[in-house]
Parts: sequence; structure tokens; C-alpha cells
Amino acid sequence: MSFKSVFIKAELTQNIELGKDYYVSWFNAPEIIKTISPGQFVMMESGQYLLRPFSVYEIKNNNIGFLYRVIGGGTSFLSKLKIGDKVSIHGPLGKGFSLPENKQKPILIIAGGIGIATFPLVARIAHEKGYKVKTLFGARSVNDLVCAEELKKYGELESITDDGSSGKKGFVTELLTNELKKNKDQEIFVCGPTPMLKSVIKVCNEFGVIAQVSFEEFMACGYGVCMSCVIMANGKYVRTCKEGPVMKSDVVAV
Amino acid sequence: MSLLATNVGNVKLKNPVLLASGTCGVAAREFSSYFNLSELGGIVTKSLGIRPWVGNPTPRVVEIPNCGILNSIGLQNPGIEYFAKNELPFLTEQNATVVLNVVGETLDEYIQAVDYIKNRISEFSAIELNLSCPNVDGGLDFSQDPKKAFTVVSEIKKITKIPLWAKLSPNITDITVIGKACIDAGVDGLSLINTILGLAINRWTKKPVLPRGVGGYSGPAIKPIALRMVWQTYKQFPKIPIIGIGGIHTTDDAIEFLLCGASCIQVGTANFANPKASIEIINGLKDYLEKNKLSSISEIVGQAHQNKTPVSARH
Ligand SMILES: Cc1cc2nc3c(=O)[nH]c(=O)nc-3n(C[C@H](O)[C@H](O)[C@H](O)COP(=O)(O)OP(=O)(O)OC[C@H]3O[C@@H](n4cnc5c(N)ncnc54)[C@H](O)[C@@H]3O)c2cc1C
Ligand SMILES: Cc1cc2nc3c(=O)[nH]c(=O)nc-3n(C[C@H](O)[C@H](O)[C@H](O)COP(=O)(O)O)c2cc1C
Ligand code: FES
Repeated sequence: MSFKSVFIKAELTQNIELGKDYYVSWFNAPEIIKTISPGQFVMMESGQYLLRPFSVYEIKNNNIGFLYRVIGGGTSFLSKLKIGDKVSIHGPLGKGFSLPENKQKPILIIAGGIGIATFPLVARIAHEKGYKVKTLFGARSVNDLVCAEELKKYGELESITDDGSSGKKGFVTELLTNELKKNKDQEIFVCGPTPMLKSVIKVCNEFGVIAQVSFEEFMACGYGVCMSCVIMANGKYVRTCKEGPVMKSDVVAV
Repeated sequence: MSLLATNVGNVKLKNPVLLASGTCGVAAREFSSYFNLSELGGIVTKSLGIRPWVGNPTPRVVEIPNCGILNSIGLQNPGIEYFAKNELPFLTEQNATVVLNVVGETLDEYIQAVDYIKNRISEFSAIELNLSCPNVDGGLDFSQDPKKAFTVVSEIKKITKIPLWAKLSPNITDITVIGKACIDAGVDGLSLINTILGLAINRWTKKPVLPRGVGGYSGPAIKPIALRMVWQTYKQFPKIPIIGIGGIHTTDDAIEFLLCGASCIQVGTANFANPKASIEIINGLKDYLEKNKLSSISEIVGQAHQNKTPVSARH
């Protein structure tokens, strides 16, 4: 895929608190939106030495939104920005999800925790193009099921929590197993913390299905020049920021 | 001729700003989204060996807040043959000035790698020997033992006419000892400095963050150390061209290196947070020359040495 990424200063237009520690920040960035495809990410200035990677959560008019959980200095910096503040944004970066050629093939989204942030845009576009979309969402507790309502606009959503505070108690792999028992012929999109990705890939391997998995490795540059973000794929270390973040589950070692 | 044109010994550069090895991918292809590679003084390739290197397990980088990063990439590279076939044609087409950075585990591997391209004088402006990687076993040997440094430089000088730079490690008591060994062996320039050995600890796991324990420190925090080493080397060997590297993020940083005696500079870790850092520095240097009514950037090289420095500053 060929696209042009840019390095720009963008102005914050809105900062919304979604619940404890969860925020959506919107920036005016028409240059980035022009070429974006769902599942891509940006590197964002966050008051730290390195920029921080964030998935593109949604686009609206000329604005690009990021959904994140505050976990450290960078995310805390972003959550405190004021309307009109400008930060550097570098993107769009990486390779996103590919919709299947067969429009009849349903799309099954598997999200773990803040991995959900990459899916509203993906689900909306798939839905608008006429695909059937279903989301399986695993989170720690009811407080972490952010943007579930939004995803329900584009199709069915089933959730499961580690502590049972909403839906079933357990892990998202249980929901996936049930789903694959019913129908293996679905295009599977996955994003979440690395241990969850590994469990999901194992389940997919058991059923002999290949998923599109979005990896969230530590990224120092985000555009392919430092070699910090690698995972083993086909026996070689490959860059998740360039050859990914979305990669086919059958090439990665788990 | 542009005011920024620079001679690094016998190497002619459009301007004194290059991209540092290992901080611009294998061969800077990724930067062509942001600017034309021919605008740079040059690009230095990733360290390339005679065979591909796998690299270290992850995590490979840890951020040191406000100071920079520690890295342990482990010289992952596709090998010189892959580079020559798949990356070099792109660089030539882009009209980029190319410095080939070479690495080996043994003297023989250095020789084989250079041998592979030894006659391609029109394609490489210089070869930079990485004598100083802290992230592989034995990687520092060539940069800590003056005899070994002398041997590798003199052997490579025998097989190629391409100008030769030696990239030295700061992980040594007196960098001028290794510098002298390289000069005695006929080196054409000294690249100072590679990363500084460091370590980061995870307080929760009670283990080092990086799998090998140590990593190479780079970024803003190492600038004073790099400046000091450029200063010392220039003072002792004012005739040998110095390529200044270490924590350069802005035009001001670059000017400080030139004043200390560097003929040109390389932008390293700064590329990560800003792919246009090098271009911003080039534009800044142009403004600097105009404002100060200088006719050539080389006028300021080593100028800090002309002013009397305090002999024994008290702390
Ligand atoms: C491609 C990609 C897309 C991402 N998209 C989102 C998103 O849409 N929303 C969101 O909330 N987060 C996302 N992340 C994770 C996000 O980048 C980290 O939460 C952020 O870098 C933390 O920065 P900080 O300065 O707040 O925390 P730090 O102080 O840097 O780190 C706090 C903790 O977070 C961990 N951490 C740091 N960097 C990362 C990282 N790159 N990936 C995972 N954990 C990390 C650290 O190990 C540490 O335990 C994404 C990561 C990647 C690689
Ligand atoms: C991630 C990373 C990879 C590097 N890889 C190489 C390399 O392959 N060969 C080399 O000679 N130097 C390598 N270096 C060292 C840099 O070229 C440079 O000498 C050093 O980082 C100091 O400059 P800086 O502070 O501007 O980054 C690497 C540095 C970093 C941060
Ligand atoms: S983050 Fe630098 S290469 Fe992927």
C-alpha cells in the first residue's frame, strides 16, 4: 500500500473524558485524514523525549480522534491539553486492516482492553460498505468497556470482563471459541495486549483460521528507522510499525 | 557553490549534515516521504556485515526520561549484498550522498564486507567502519584496543581507495589513543561518538530492562560527552577531519560541534521524534551563515580552540 505520511503541528479541538482515566482527544489534521486507512496509527508529541503511538480512533470532518487510557507521563500530558494547544503528529503510519474481497464474509472483531481504540473507524467503514460486523470485547471491568455503545451502531457486540462486573466473567478467547464453533468462515480482526493476542492466535491456529492481528509493541520511531518494534515473523525480526501493526496470524511466532 | 558546502578531508559534501548509522533505517528510504534525500549532506547506512545479522530479542529500546534512550538493537542488518542489490539503486536514483557503514565480528569479516564494494568509488563518498558497537559480544574490541584498531584500518586501506572513516567508541579512558592508532594506520576521518554503555533497571521485576543488561545510551544527555571527545581529539590532531555525533537535535547543537572541531555532523536519535530534524538543522545553518555574514561554514570549524580556554577550571 502506498500512502504519504506527514509530520505536522496539529491543534487540539476537543478533549473529552470518557470515564475514569479514558479520554478522546480530537485534533484538526486534514493532511493526515486525506490518506488514512483503518487500523493505521500516528506518533504523537506527548511531552516526553519520544513520541507516543496511538491508533486512529475516528475521523470527523477535518478532525482526527484518539481514544486512550492514561497510564503514564505521555498519556497524562495529552489528557491535560487545552483547546488550541498544538502538538506534533506524525502519520498516518503502518499497515492497517484489509477488508475481505468477498462482501458476504462477516467481520469478527476481537478487542482486548484499550485495543478497542482502533476499531470504531474500522467497524464504521466496514458497516458502511455493507459488511456484517460483530465485536467481541474483553476488558478488566465494566469501567473499561469504553465505546461499546458506539460499536453497537455497526453490529452486534458481546462483552466479557475479567471480574464479571459486566457480561460474563472470563476472557475474550472463550467468546471467540464459541463463535468459531458456529462459523469458521469469518474475517477476524484482533487488537489488544500482547498476552491476549497470543491466546487469540492460538485459538485461531486450533481452528485453522488466519486472523489479521494488530500488534502493540514498544515503538521508538514509528516509521521504520530504529528497529525497536520487531516481532519474529517467518523466522525473521520484522518491524511492527512498518510491516505492521496489522499482520497475518500465520506468519508470527507465538 | 553553496555556502554550506563542506570538505571532510577529501570527501566533498553539499552541506555538513548527515543521518547517523542505525537511526535512518537500512538506507534512509523512509525519509524520502518527508524530503528529498539529495538535500542532505549525506546518509550513513545501517552497519552492514558480510552476512545478515539477526539482532537482539526485545525489548530493544528503553526511554530515559528527558535524557534520551538506551538501545540494544544488536546490529540487525540484511547484509551488504542485499543492500547493494535492493537499497543502493534507490539511493543512486535519489542522488543521495552515501556513506557505507561496515561492521564485522572479526577482522576477516570487515575485510570481506569492504572487498564486496571496494571498487565502487563513484557510489560511496566514504566508508565508515563501525569499530564500536556496544550491543554485541566483542563489539567494542576494535575500539578499545589500539593494536586492533590499527590493524583493521590499515588492512582496509590496502584494499580500497574509498575514503575511510573510523567510528569510535566513547567507552574508553582516552579516546585519543584509539584516534592516534587509526590516524597512524591512514584513516581519513574520525566519527565521534557511538553510544555510551548504560543500564536501566525495572524496579518491579528487579531485573535490567534490556535482555542483555547493558545498552547504548544516546540522545540529548550524551551531547556534552561527545563534545568533549571532539574537543580533545581536535586539540591533539587538528589536521584529521572529525565527524561529530552525539545528541544533536538542533542547529545550535550542530554549531557547537563545528566550533569544537567537527567538519560535519550526524543526526542520530533526534530523527526518531522528528523525521525532519536534519533538514531543519540545514536550514538553520543557512540562516546562521547569513546572519553572521560568513562566506563558508568551514570558517567556524574548530574556532572554539582559538579562544583561550580556562586551563584548570575549578568546580
Ligand atoms: C501501534 C500502537 C497503537 C496504540 N494505540 C493506542 C490507543 O489507541 N490508545 C491507547 O490508550 N494506547 C495505545 N497504544 C499504547 C500507547 O502507545 C501507550 O499507552 C503509551 O505509549 C503510553 O505512554 P505514557 O507516556 O503515558 O506511558 P509510559 O510512562 O511510557 O508507560 C507506562 C506503561 O505503558 C507501557 N507502554 C509504554 N509504551 C507502550 C506501547 N507502545 N505499547 C504498549 N505499552 C506501552 C510501559 O511499558 C509502561 O508499563 C498504542 C501502541 C501502539 C504500539
Ligand atoms: C537505535 C540505534 C541504532 C544504532 N545503530 C548503529 C549502527 O548500526 N551502527 C553505528 O555505527 N551506530 C549506530 N548507532 C549509533 C548512532 O549512529 C550514534 O552514533 C549515536 O546514537 C549517538 O548519536 P545520537 O545521540 O545523535 O543518537 C545507533 C544508535 C541508535 C540509537
Ligand atoms: S518503531 Fe522504529 S522501526 Fe518500528
